[in-house]
Amino acid sequence: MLVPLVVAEVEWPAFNVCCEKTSTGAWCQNALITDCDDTFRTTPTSCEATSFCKLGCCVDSDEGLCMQNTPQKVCEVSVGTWLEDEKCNVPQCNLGCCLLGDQASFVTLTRCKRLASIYGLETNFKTDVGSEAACIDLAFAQDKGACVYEIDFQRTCKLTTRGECLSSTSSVEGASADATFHKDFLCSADELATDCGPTTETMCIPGNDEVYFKDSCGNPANIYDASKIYSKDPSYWRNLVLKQESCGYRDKDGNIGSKDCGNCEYLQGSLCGKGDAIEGDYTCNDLNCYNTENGNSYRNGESWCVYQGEINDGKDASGSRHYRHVCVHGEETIEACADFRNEVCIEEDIDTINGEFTEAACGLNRWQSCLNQFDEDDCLNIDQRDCFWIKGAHYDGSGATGKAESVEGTAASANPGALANEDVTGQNTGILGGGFICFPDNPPGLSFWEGGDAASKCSMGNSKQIVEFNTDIMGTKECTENCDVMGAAWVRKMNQVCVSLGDCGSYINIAGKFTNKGAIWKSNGQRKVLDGILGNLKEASAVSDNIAAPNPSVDSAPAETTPMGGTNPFSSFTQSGGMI
Amino acid sequence: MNIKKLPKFHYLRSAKFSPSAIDNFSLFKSPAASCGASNLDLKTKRGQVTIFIILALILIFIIIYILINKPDITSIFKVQSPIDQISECVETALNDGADILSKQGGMIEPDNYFLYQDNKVGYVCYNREDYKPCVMQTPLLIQSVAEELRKYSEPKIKQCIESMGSTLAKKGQTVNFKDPIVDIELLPNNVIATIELDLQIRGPDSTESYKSIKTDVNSKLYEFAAVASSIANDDARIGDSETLTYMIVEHPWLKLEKKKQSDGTKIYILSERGSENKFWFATRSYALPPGAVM
Repeated sequence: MLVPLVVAEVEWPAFNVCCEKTSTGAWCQNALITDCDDTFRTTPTSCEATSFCKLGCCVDSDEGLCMQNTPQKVCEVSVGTWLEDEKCNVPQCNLGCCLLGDQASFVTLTRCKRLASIYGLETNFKTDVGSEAACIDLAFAQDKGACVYEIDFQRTCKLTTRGECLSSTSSVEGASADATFHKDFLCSADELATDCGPTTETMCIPGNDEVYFKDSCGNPANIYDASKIYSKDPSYWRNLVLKQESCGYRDKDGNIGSKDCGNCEYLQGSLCGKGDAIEGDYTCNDLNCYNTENGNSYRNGESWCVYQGEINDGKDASGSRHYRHVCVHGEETIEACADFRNEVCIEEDIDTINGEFTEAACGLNRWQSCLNQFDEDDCLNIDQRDCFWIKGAHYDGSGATGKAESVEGTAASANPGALANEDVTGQNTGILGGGFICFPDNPPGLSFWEGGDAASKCSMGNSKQIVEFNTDIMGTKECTENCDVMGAAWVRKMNQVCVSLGDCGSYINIAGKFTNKGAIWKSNGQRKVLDGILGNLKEASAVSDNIAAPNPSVDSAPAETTPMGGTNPFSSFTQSGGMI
Repeated sequence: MNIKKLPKFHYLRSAKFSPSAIDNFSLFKSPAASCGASNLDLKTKRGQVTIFIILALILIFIIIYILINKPDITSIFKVQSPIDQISECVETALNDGADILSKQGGMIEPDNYFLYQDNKVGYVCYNREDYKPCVMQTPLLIQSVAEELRKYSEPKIKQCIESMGSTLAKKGQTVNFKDPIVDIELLPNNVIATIELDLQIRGPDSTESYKSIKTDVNSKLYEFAAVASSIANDDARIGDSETLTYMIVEHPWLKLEKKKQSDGTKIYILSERGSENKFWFATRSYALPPGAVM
C-alpha cells in the first residue's frame, strides 16, 4: 500500500521566486530570492509558470527510461528528450511486454531494444499485454526445449526457448545456422544424440526458485529429485517435467532444507542456494525470518508493524514513531514511518492457500479533521480520517488555529441536545464538559524546538470556563454555576484531552518518563499546582472510552475563577480570564 | 646429555649387528678414540639433520601457504606489460570512483545532499517545499553516473599513462601517445573504460602500437542506477515506493533499505545480496512537516 497524495493547503515560508538553481545546487525550486544561485535565472513566479522549469517527461533515448516531473532545463542539460507531460503519458513511454529468452520485463520499446542488445537477444516486444503479471505469464507460456546445433563438428545442445533457438541472433557463438528445436525435450535425451548427458550435479538458475539437475553441457535439466538420477529413472532425463508434477509440490514449507527434493517455492520462503543434498551442492534455502524483534517468526515477503508503546485511542507516547518491519531473504529490515507520526503503520492479515500472510504499510495519519467532527459516523469514517469518538467532553468549534474548516456552526449549534455541559453564559470556550468529542487515533508529534507550530496545535485543547459564585453577607463564597471545572477530575480530563491532540499535555515520553510540565492550570490568572492531581498518568493518561464524570467533591477550588490550561514542552494553553 | 647418550646408542646399534660386526668396529677404533671421533662425527651429522629438518619445515610451510592462499605464482616472476600496468591503474581509478559515487547518489561532489552517516548523499529527486512532489534532479542517472565516473577517473588515468611513459623512457624506449580520451560505459555487472590514445612503444627491437585500451571492472552501478531511477519516479509520482515490490518481485538480488528522516528526506540504500556493493541516494517528495495540515 502506498501513501496517498497530500494536497497542499498552506505554504510556509512563502517562497516567492523560482530559482533555476539554488545556492545549494537544487534545480528548479520555489524559494526566497536569497536562496537562488545568481549565476542562473530567477523569476518572480512559481517554477510551474516558467518555461525553463516547466515540468515534463524526460525520455532517455539510449536506455529507454522515462523520468517524470523533470524540468525542461534539467532534461536538456542531461541530454534527454523533454516532452510536455509530467506524468509521461506519451507514446515513447508506453509499456509493453519485452520477452528476453525465457525472461520477461514490462518496459518501453526502447528499453526492450536496449536490454535485447545488452544480452545479445532478439527484440520481442508485445504491445497488447496490459500488465506486468500478464507479461510474466507470457514468458512462462513460451515453448521451451532442446535447441540442437553443431559447433566445431560436435552435435551439442542448449535448453532454451523456441524463439531464442531459431533466432538469427542466438547467443550461441559459433553455432551452425541449422539449429533444430525440440519442444519439451531435455538436452540429455538419448534420442537427440548430443554430447550432453545426465550427471548427478545440480544447479540454481537466476530468476528461478528451484534446484535443477545439470547435464554434462551445463544446461539445466528437470527439478532435482534424488530418486530420479539417471540410473534410477532414465525417463526423467528425456522430457521437461512441470513443477506441479515434480517432487514435493506445494510442500507447506517449500521443501526447505530437503536433501532429496529441490522443488523450492519462493512464496513459501525457500529458494535454491548452496546446501548439503544427497546429490549436488544445492538445496532449498530458508528465506523466512525467525525470532524477530517482536519475538515472532515471519515468512519471506511478510511485513508487520512495530510500535514504541501503546497506540490508538490517543495513547501514543510523546516522541514515539511507528515502524514497519520487513522479512526478505531471511533478513529483517526496519522501515520507519514518517516522523512526527505523520504516518502510522497499518497491519493486516491476509488468508492465503498457505495460511495467514501479514502485510503492513505506512499510511498517512489523517488526524487533522478529527476535532471538527461532531457526529459519530463522521468521526469514525475511516475513508476520511483516523479518529475515535468518546464521551464526556465536547469541542465548541472555536478553532484555536482560527480555521475550523468544517465548522459551519459550533458543536453546540449542531447538536445542542447532546451536550451535558452547555455553555450557558457563552463565555466558556474550547473544550467543554459533557457531550462527545472526536479525537485523533494517533495524535501527531509536534516539534516545539525549531519554531514549529506546536503551541497552536496544542492550544486546540484549551478550555476557558466561567464559574459563578454567590457571596453571602458574611463574605463566604459559594459556587453556584459550573462548579465541576474546579475539581481535580476535570483537570485530569482536560489533560487527557490535551494528550489526545498531539504531543501535548502531561504524559509519558518515548523513554517511558512522565513529566507534568505539559499542562497549566490557572485560576484567576494564578497558576495552580498540578502535582498530586495528575499523579503518574502512565496508566491512565489516555482518554478512556468514556471519560469519567467530574467529581466536584475531589477538590474544592477556592477561587471564583480557576484558569486551567495545559502545556508540555511542545505547547501551551492560554487563558483569558475566567476558567480555562 | 648427548655425550651420555652416545655409548648407549653404540650399544644399541651394536646389539643389532652380529658379533663380528662388533668386533670389526672395535678392531679399528679403540673405545676412547672411537668415542672421541664418533662424538665429532655425530655432532656434525646432528647439525646436518637439524638443518635438513629446518629446511623441510620451511618447505612444508611454503607448500601449506601456497595451498591455502593459492597465489598466482606466475605473477611473481612475470614482468607487467605497459598495457597491464595501465589496465591495473584504470581498474583502481574506476573502483575508487565507484566507491565514492555509490555513497553519494551517483555524484562525486554533490551540492544538493543530505548528510547521512557522514556521507553526502545526493538528491536524485528533490523538492524543498513540503506537500509537493519532488522535481527530478538527475533524470538520466545511468549516463550521469558514467559521466561522473569519467570526470573522476580521467585525470588519474592520464597520470597513469604519463607515469608509464616516463618509466619506459628511462628504460630507453620511446613512447608516443595522443591526449587520451576516456569513455566510460555502464553495463549490467560491468563498468567499461575505453581509452583512446594511439599508444606507440618503440624499443630497440620492436614497436608496439595500441589504438585504444579497454578495461572492465565488475560493478553493479548500472543495475543500481536503473533501480534508483525507478524509485525516484515512484517518489515523484506518489511520494513513496514499495520496497517489497523491488526486492521480492523485480530484483531478488537486491536489498533495499529506506530510511525516512525527520525533514521528509528519504535515504535509500541499495545493496547486492551476498556482496559489499551498495548504492545510496536521497529523495524528498511530498514531505510532511510536524503536525502536517492537509
